[in-house]
Formats: sequence, structure tokens, C-alpha cells
Amino acid sequence: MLAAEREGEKVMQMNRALVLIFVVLLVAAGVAGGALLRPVILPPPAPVVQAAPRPVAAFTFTNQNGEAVTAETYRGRWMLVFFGFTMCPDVCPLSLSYVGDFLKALGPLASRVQAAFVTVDPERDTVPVMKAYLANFDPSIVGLTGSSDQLAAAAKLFGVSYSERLTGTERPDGGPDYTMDHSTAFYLVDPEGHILRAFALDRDAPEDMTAEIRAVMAAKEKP
Amino acid sequence: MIRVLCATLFFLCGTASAADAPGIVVTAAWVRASLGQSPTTAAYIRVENKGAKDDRLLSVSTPAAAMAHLHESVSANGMMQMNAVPALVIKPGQTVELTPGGMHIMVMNLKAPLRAGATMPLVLTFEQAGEIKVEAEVRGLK
Repeated sequence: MLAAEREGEKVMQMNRALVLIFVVLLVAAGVAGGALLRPVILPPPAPVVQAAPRPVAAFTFTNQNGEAVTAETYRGRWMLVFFGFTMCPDVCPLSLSYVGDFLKALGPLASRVQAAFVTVDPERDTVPVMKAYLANFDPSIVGLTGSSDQLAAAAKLFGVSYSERLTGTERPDGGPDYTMDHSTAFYLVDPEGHILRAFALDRDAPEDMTAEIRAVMAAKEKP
Repeated sequence: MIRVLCATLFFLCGTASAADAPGIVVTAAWVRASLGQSPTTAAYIRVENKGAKDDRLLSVSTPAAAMAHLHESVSANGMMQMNAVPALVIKPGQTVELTPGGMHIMVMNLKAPLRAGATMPLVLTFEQAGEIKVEAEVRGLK
């Protein structure tokens, strides 16, 4: 091998080494820079923001006058829906009297609202039982009862849960007595039937609930 | 602190005639009038322990209904439950109030509907004070 060739090979080796060092430095800088800049250069993929479609109220029941009604019966009006049962001694009468207070507080707007009491105990809450019970509350409140399937379908849509619980005592007819555990929220439904939100009685004071519903209605009803 | 207070109260009561001490005082008893055909209603009371010792409300009964139980409306995960309260403890100097939406006496299987303006006898059995009978005023809603 000629000296010139050897010299050339040395230069090439040096060049390769330099290139290698350069590449290593470049990669290192890239990694370091990448690490520093990652939040800017590579933002995590933004979640696809999509408003959950609001469930639309759909149900078929019988009102306290024995008439068949569906959610369409009340389209065009606001609804305030409460699930309970007539043998509920404490929370249900309290809630239904709150509904009366709420309707009174709404003033003229109350004519745009249909309050509904849906029984979670349709076995015992028949049409005449519902009618006699509701006679104690605001006369505009409608009472809805039906088959257990009709109840289950409506409850699922509203996100209401309910279950029987044996009280360990006997009914007058000798059968095991039971009470119902149930959700105690008030559900606001807009005139198009969208279930807007739930107001929990134990969280939202009745006055707060009235003020909030009034605001929601005013926002939607303004020309 | 509570221990000192209890000891002081005990000392004070100990010097007075124990038989004269009123112990448990039940006031403001009322029961919600029957709603439609519902055989179930709820009664509410205020219990004050003027005595020197803890007392416990063990049971409730009324001649107006087959059963009366102390219950509490409890909200768990948006679900309202009615839980039995086995024995309500009232400490010396403490006043416990049963109010709508909270603790109540569940009155089941009424023998006849309760009309506003009437009264319903309530028999409350305490561990220390024994049986205390009060007349609960029958009222409309709330």
C-alpha cells in the first residue's frame, strides 16, 4: 500500500469518527431537546370533545285518572320528574310538598311546567291509590304508574335506581312487607324532551333548585 | 373535657334527689296526617336528656298502628334508603330532634287514617327513663 493511500485511509477513518461523533451529538441533542420541548412539540392527542347526547325522555304510563300517557303527551312543556312511592313515609311527602313550593315560587312560569310523580312501587301504587295520595299535594302534579316493565324502561332512561327491601315485618294480608330504596332526585326535562339534569334534594336546597331551574328556563325561553 | 362535664353533671345530679331529676323530656311530638290510602306515615319528636347518664331510646309503639320503628332516611350514591336505627343514644345535656328528611318514627299499618287536628299516642321506651307516653299532634304536610 502506498503511503498516500495509507494517509487517505487515515483521513477517511478520522472523517468517519468525526461523522460518528457528530451523529452521536446530534442524537443526544435531539433527545435532550425533545425531552425539553416535548410538551410543545408533541402535545398529547387532544381528547375528542363531544357533548354526550342528552337522553330524551320516553315513557308510557297511566296517570292518576286512568288515562294512558307518553312522554309526547308533555312535549312542548318543561317537566320536573320525581320517582317515589306512596308508602314512603318521610322523604316522598317532603319532596312532593317541595314541588308545590317550587311551582308557587315559579309564579306565571309554572304554567309551562308539568311536575310528575312516578311510582317505583307500581304493584301497590295503582291508579286509585295514586289519585288519593296526590289529592294532598299541588293539584297540577301528575301521578304516573304502570307495569314493572314500563317503570324499568323509564327508570333506565332517567338513570333512576330502585329496589325492594324487606322490612322483616308482615303486611296486614300476611305477606312479607317491603319498602323501596330509590333515587330521590328531581329531573328537569326541557320542552323537546331532553333530560337536562338532576337535582338532588339532599344537596340542592329547594330555594337553590328553584333559582337554578328558573335561570335554565329563562335562558331557553328568551326570544 | 366531656369526661369532666359528665362527671360534673353526675355530681350535681347526685346531690339532688335522683327521683326528682326529669331525665328524658320528650316534646314537639307530631305525626303526619294520612295521605290518601297510604297505611304508612311518619312521626317526629324532640328528645332532651336532662339527666346525668346516657339514655337510649329502645323502642316505640302506638295503639294507632300495628308497628312503629325508629328509622333514618339516608342518602347513599343518590339512592335514598330507610335504615332502621336500633337504639338512639341521647347523651346528658343533648337534644336530639327527629325531622322530615332525617330520623323519623315510621308508623306502619295504621288501623285507621289519621286526620289533621287529632292526636296519636306514642309510647317511647327508654333504657333509663323507662316508658314515656306522649300525644303526637296530627298535622298536614311538613
